[in-house]
Amino acid sequence: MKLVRLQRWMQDAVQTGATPARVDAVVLPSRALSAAERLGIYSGMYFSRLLEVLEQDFAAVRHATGAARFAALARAYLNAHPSTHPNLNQLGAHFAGDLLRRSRFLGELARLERTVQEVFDAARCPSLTEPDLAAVPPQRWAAMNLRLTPSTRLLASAYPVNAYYQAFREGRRPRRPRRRNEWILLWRKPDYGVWRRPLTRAQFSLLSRLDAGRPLAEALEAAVALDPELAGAIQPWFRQWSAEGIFQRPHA
Amino acid sequence: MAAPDVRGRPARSMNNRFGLADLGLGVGLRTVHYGHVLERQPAVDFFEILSENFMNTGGRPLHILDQVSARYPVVLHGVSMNLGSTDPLDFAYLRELKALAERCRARWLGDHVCWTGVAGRNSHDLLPLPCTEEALRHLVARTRAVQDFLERPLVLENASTYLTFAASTMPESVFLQRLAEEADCALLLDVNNIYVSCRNHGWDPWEYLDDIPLERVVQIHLAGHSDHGTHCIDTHSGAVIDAVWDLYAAVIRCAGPRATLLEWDQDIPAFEQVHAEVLKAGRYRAALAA
Repeated sequence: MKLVRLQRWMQDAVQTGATPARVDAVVLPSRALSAAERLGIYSGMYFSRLLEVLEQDFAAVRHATGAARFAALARAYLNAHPSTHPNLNQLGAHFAGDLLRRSRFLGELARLERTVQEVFDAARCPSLTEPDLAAVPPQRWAAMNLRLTPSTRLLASAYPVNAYYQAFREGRRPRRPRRRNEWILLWRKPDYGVWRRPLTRAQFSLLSRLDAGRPLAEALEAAVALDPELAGAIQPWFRQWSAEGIFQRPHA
Repeated sequence: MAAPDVRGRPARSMNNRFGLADLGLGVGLRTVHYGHVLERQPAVDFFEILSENFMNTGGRPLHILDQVSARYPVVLHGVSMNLGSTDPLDFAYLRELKALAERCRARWLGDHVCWTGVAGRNSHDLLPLPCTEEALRHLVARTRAVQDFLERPLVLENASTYLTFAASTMPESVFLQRLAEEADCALLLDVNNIYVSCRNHGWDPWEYLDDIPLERVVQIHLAGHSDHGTHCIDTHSGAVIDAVWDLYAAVIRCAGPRATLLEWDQDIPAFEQVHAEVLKAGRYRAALAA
């Protein structure tokens, strides 16, 4: 058997866990194990290793599903999306999308856990500081563009997944919540810790539009339409957000 | 009873042919030990970095690596080069690896004699190659291509294997010897992997060692493993067993001292215990000097 055929043969066997028909012609037995048992060592390790990675990356989802259902979901996911990236930190890249087709709550919880990882690994980027913001002349504010740094992300969810995730992290064994909209800001601090905070719908709208490239005046107008009371709160928000470094420093 | 020498080789100290330094006794850097290493700055001779832990990321891992590499010599050891695959070489991966090696001033970098996936997939395992002329030609050509790209010799490790192919026409040890000589690459000799593979396949570990071109060995790996009776698995867990220490002693008696590193990846204990395990190698190194 040519090397290319042998590798495809073995990979199929390892990733499906099935014993191929010609195993005794391709693999030699040892004194203690048959050819199929020896090949089975690789397929057993394949699934257990990747399951362990998904369990670590989606620990809250595993809590929500229980270990057995999580293992079944992981197996279905790995069959549909076998890893194609050399780095295991990409293994769960499509897990949330896969779960969303089965359960909105599980999918959105998985999306939150995946986003925490993405924020952790995001590229560094100079951020806008409070003095930078204060130096902008008032006449230029309306047209100002403020983009989020790569390590800042926004999530909108139909379930309170951030509250669930926080309770799980604190060891409180949360139960599946009822549907309630939630808007979340995730960002990475200079010490590389990943933080999460609930947002109001108006805050989420404002930051989403800014990150989509809309000028500040237009983004503010849309946010005020959602919450006419927010006009007085905008300056403290921007002071806080710039202190937290969530906006990119504009190119000189 | 003292372990035998590698057959036909006098006890002596030889330099490796690449002029790469004996870095002493090192430890594989693991996430759970980051805090200890940065705060306590233990007296470790060098750290081995798992390349992929610091690739495809722009956050805390690189910040940690910058601090570790500022204080200690580091070497890079990867698991995803996929050198033996029949897929095209992944030059995006190699570019990132080369940049990482430059960033941390790696003394050398390497991976395994294996393949990890084909048809664009990745099993994230070190899968065995058949020991055939076809596989050897393929691996030699790719090793040379990667070395040209990285502008340095690759340090390739013998992986633990759990099956053998009916198509193989030469012993794994001869395959490794010919690979090293025909590709002009360096070797990372994992003596635990030699023990595990020999147990799994009924080979003689001393005959395996006889075939290894020791002048190409620049680093030695030590680790524990799991013995299931019918077979052994290279789990990198627990202490190094006496039979593996015997192999280690024989290698350095014939090759001279080599950078020696302990891997511990399952049920990882406190850093001091991992460090203490590799320091046991010191008595074998001291015997050389006596």
